[in-house]
Amino acid sequence: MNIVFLSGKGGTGKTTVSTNIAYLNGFNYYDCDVEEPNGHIFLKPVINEIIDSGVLNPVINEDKCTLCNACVRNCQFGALVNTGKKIMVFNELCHGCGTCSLSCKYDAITEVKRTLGKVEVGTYEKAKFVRGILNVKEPLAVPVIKDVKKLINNEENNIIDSPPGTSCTVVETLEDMDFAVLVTEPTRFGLSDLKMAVYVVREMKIPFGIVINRSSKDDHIITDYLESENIDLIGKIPYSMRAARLYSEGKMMIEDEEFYERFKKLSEDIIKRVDK
Amino acid sequence: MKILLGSKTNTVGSEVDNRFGRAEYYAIYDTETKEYTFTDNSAKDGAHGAGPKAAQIAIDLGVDVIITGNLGPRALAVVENTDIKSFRINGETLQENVDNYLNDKLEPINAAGPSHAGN
Repeated sequence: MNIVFLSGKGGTGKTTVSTNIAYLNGFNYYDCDVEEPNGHIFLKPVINEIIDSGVLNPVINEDKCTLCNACVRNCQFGALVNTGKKIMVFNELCHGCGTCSLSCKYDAITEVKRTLGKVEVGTYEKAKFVRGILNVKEPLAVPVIKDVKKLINNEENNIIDSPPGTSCTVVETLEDMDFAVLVTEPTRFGLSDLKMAVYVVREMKIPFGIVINRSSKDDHIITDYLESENIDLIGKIPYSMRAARLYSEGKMMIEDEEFYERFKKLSEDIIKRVDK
Repeated sequence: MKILLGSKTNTVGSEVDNRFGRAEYYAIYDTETKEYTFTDNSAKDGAHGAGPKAAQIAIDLGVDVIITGNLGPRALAVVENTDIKSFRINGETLQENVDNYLNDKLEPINAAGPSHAGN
């Protein structure tokens, strides 16, 4: 069973909610927010394996290349340019799809792995902890997310922490998910990005529900939308100075008595929906 | 000789478009016929890599000269691997820039400007 936590907008509390739900249930935790993974701050895992993560980039053998242009024509990412004298490769634009080497009739392209980041594998309590880390300056996060997801066993209970946004990184994270929890906040920005996230999970036909974090008198910003779209509100976490303090100290919300009860209820309400 | 300019519209009286990879249109001026042709910029809508794609368009069109506001690092690297010469815009309209080029009043582009990343 795979439960993914996403939000659209960054900073709404994906990691706060997902780490607490994972911990409460002893579920495995996979941090796919590879540009800024921070689940480890709360779950405090022991890492016992580090895997190199990367992408295959083409290298052109100029002795064999006839400048036939097939690779350039077929590249969907503009990573290859034919200057008329040689083929130039822009590695940072290459998604490693391999189309160039498949389309080369002259055996002039070899693919060489370029490191983009790493995947750390370990344990917290008695569950698995995995996180991807993209190297600074690298724009291409999807291959690292793929490497994190290769380690997911669908037969186990897994919590997946998604990156923010609604682009390729999120779509890649959402593949094979059984249920999505969309964590939002009662602000106009929260609503705007929530709508895009809803659009994506609906398009991918993933059952989902909403959690409003930092719940306040402004909740109607979100709830009006949820009612008009007939979207399931799973629960709320109140806006609270105590929560902010716990977070700033790298502590789990469930270390606090009142939040423990709230998260226990929230956790049950999520799992009830996944099991349905 | 063919000159490529970024162009805000696809009409002869157009203003030049300062951006290279993300120009709205490309105007190609032929110094022999003294006529303009226009082409859509298929490179401009991608999230990344508009510069090298646009450079490929210029190469495929067989132009000799590019007149633009700036070339990003990748586009400049491509252009430097060809016989195409690049010059910095000086003037509002296509024709002013063509005239300035023909009268040696444009500066060559030797160093890359900042990457736009779509902005």
